[in-house]
Amino acid sequence: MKYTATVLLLAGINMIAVSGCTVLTGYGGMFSLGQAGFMSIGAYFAACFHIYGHIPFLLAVLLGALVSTAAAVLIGFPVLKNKLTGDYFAVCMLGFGEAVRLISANFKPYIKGAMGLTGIPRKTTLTVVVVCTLVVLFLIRNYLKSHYGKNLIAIRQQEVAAEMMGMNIMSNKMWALAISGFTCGFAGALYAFYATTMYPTTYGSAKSTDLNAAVVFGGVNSLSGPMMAAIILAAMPEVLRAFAMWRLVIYGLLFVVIMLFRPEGLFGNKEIAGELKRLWRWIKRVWAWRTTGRKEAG
Amino acid sequence: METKPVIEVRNVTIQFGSLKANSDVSFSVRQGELFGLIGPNGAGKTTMFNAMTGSVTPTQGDILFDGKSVLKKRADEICKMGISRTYQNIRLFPQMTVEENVEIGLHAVPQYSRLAAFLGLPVVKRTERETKQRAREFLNRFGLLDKQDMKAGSLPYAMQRKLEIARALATSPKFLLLDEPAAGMNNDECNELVALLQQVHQDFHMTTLLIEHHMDLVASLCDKLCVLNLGKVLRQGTPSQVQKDPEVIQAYLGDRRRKRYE
Repeated sequence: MKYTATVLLLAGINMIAVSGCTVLTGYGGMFSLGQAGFMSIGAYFAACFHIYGHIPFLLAVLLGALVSTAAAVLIGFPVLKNKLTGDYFAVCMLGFGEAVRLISANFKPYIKGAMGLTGIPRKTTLTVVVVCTLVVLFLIRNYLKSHYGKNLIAIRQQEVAAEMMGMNIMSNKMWALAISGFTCGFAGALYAFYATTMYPTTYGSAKSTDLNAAVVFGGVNSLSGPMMAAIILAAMPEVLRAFAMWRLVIYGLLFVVIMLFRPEGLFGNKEIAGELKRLWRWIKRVWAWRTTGRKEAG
Repeated sequence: METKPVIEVRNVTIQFGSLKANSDVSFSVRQGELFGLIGPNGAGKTTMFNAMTGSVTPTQGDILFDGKSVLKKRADEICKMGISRTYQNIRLFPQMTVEENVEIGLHAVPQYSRLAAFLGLPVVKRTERETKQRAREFLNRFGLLDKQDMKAGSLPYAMQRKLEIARALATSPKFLLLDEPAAGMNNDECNELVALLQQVHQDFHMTTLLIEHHMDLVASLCDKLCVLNLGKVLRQGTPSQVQKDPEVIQAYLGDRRRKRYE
């Protein structure tokens, strides 16, 4: 039971992080390779707020996430002002993620550099994670379903026309980046209070890749798709514990297979709820056909 | 009767390196006019459009809309001033449905705050319903209502052009720029488009600036024409004046043909 709870807890944290990446990468089409940097910032600041500032656990986590949001706005300003898109944006964010890792590895006061910050109290429980995940998912779902979400898709598909329709491209993209900064920071902070230690290498570029993988696996116009993928990807290391060495190889293989057969992601544009409704209608139809068929036969 | 000019192009020169796309172009479009901008390939018509919508900044001169300069403004600010356009190479949102395309024109700046969106307040649902309703009205006017659930990218070419006009009108502009709306259309589709544009012009009292190659279409549609050639204004006037002008004929047909024509 304890084991299952742990996997669920990790899955929940992963879902929180991925939900923001859905806004940024899925809907907004901005591929970022530095999301782990936001997780680091959120984790370090939340831990410091709690340990040195004696701020209560949940408030510290929230403040950590807000600092990470501020970092997103700070990096977003020069990057988006200069209209960097596509690969250029990805590389800038990769640089940001690496910068965060190197700075935290060499910053001795408070966070103890490469030695890592230890002795963070274990406060994150399954209940906390479940409640936080539900709240974050509720907010993100509403945002994506509103006109703001549709506008993001429009910008991804045809930026020139979207701007001519009256959208402020910079502010729309900035919000997407800030939202992803918030959820990643939030998830990172929650994880720090679960793991009780925080090293500069806890969130490396592999973590950023993981987050993007979840969005791409799940589908770019969907929230429930990436959420499923987030759960699967969080459980994967546990399932594949026996061949930990081969894990990344299997990831790579999965990536190639999905890109070959479902380039728009497992769920593409669809939401799970909609698909379940369709399945239910289909079952009802088959059922109706069977019963009427029987009557006619009788 | 002279009404006030909606857009005024004043001595605009646009230079890309050593290439002058436009040099010293001046014309003005008055309230409610259907104005045609014509000229052979490479005359600088689309560059002029791009300058009016903020994607190109003129080297010299000024463009005034309602008395205010549109230079150094972002496209979305220009849109809010009341200018909307279509593109020569269609720029729809290809993977969105036909209806969603028009909806984007209606809610590019949503009427509620982001906080309301996050919390999913009732205003979000209500606005969404109203937007859908209004989008359907637009589609109905353009005869695209039965295609509303199709992906915009899978529509036939002529319909994509129509949809783009519908989407441009959805931003409720005061001034509409159409870049070759009849490009790639056959004769029937072209006639249909003329009727549609006249209808739109009547219903919305829309001041319209039109780039076009089809002389017939321009002649039957526009009140006034401006002919560009090699970046300069060649002639301005009513369609019948312009069509008879020997220099215009020369620019369009070449010297040899002109002699035969005369």
